[in-house]
This record gives sequence, C-alpha cells and structure tokens, in this order.
Amino acid sequence: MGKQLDLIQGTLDMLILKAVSLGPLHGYGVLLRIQQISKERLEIQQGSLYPALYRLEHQGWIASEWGESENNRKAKYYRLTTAGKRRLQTETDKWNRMAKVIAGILDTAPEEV
Amino acid sequence: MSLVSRLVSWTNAILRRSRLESEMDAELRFHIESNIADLMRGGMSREEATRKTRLEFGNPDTHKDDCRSSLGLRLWDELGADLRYGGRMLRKSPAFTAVAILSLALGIGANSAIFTLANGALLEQLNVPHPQELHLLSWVSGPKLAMSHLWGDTSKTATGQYTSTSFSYPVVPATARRESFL
Repeated sequence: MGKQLDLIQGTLDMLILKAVSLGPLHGYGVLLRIQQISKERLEIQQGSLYPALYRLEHQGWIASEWGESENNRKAKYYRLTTAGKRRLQTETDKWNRMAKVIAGILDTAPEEV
Repeated sequence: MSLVSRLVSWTNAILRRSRLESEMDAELRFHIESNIADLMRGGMSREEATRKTRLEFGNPDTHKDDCRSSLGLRLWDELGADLRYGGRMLRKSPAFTAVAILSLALGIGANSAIFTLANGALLEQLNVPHPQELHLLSWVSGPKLAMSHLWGDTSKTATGQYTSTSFSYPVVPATARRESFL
C-alpha cells in the first residue's frame, strides 16, 4: 500500500453519490466501498462522511431508510434518488472536463506556447 | 427540486428533533462499533481497536454538530439558545423586566391613542353628508396686507403675495349667505 492521497476538497460528495449508486449502503459501508474501489489509495476522514451524507440527503440527492445490517443490527441505509442520479451525471461530466483541461495545461511543453 | 427537498428536510428535522438526535447517535455508534469489530477480526485486541477507531473517527460531537449544520439547523438552534438566554436574564432581574414591560406598554398605548386621533381627524372622511362636496377656501393678499403676516396661518406665494386658509369671523356668515358656496 503506497502513500494515501488526501481527498481533494469538494470531491467527497461525488464519491458518496457514486458509492451509493452501486447499491444501498450504510455510512460505514460507504467508507468501506470507497476504500475498496480506490484500492485504499484515498484517505477519507471518517467523521466528515456523516455531515456530507446529511447534506446530500438534505438536498434530496440521496434518501435514507433504517434496515438490517449484515450482522443483524439496525443500520441507516442510503440510496441514490432520481435527482441524485442526474446530479452524479452532471458532477461526473464536470469533473472529466475539468480534469482534461488541467491535464492539458500541465502537459504543455515550452515550444507549444 | 432541491429547494423543496431542503424545505421538507428542514421541517422534518425541526418537528422530529429528538428522533433525529437519537438516530444520529445510533448511526455514529453503529459506525464506530462496526469499525472496532472489523479491526478485532483482523487480530487486534479490543482496547487497541477501540483506541485506533476513536483516533480515526475523531470527536463524534463535532461531527454531530456538522451534521446539524448540514440540515440547516444551526441558525434555528442559535435562535432558540438566544431566546432561552434572554428569558433567563429577564427572570433574573424582575425590576428591569417590569420597567421594560411598563415602558413598552406605555409607548404602544400612547402611540395607538395618537394614531386613533390622527386617523379620525386627518385620514378618514369627515362625518358629514356629501363629504366629496367639501371645499377648502383660501384668500390671496393684494399688494398690501391688512394684518401682520405673523397672525394666523399665512404663507408666501411665488409672486410675493400672502395666502392663507384662515378667515376673520365676519367673513364666515357672510360667505355662508352666498348660496353659490353651499
């Protein structure tokens, strides 16, 4: 496991939306899934996950429901709403455009200017 | 869409506050206990796992505060706290409270009494038949003014003459006798 990267500001919301888009998850499950998908390369502040989840639910992009966890305990499960699906799509497009632009700038050689 | 859901979520949070708080507690506790259990499954002792989880998770109270802010409850909570603080301070000094309430009562009472008067005298139509036929009479002085302009309610016109809506008493019955006015 190499050195973990700190999360870029503002990207946590997008990652949470993506994580729950793959299936309903409880808060701890969101953390595990992001770590699993990123192959442990991202450092996520565990506690900051919950304010982000509450914010996303407040805005109607995810919805929550109490259910039973894998070890038969009550847990709050989050799932993506229709509005959340649209939001994830626009966020993803924006991120890809931005990444392309930044990469283009960083790749510029002196003779191209 | 987002505005509606924010409004619904905010109202829900306020109306079911105690449930929100206990669910928030349960949610964070579930996270912490699951993390401890996972670490112990990896071979860690309970103490070590608890310590590591606490370190990584941070202070739950801080996170709960941030969650409340996420729901837009901060302003609401601060308003409530301010009101409770104000009430406590008023109860602590009853003399001040009495003086404050009394001056407010007097102020509001005097204000509404004066408004009632002004409303009757100035704003509402006079209680006479055909109020729309009332006229306001005024006179304009010639080159010379027979009385001091300081008497009565006179003002200067643009051409330097004096004008007023006050009449000496003999003018009133004389005017009333002229039918065209009435």
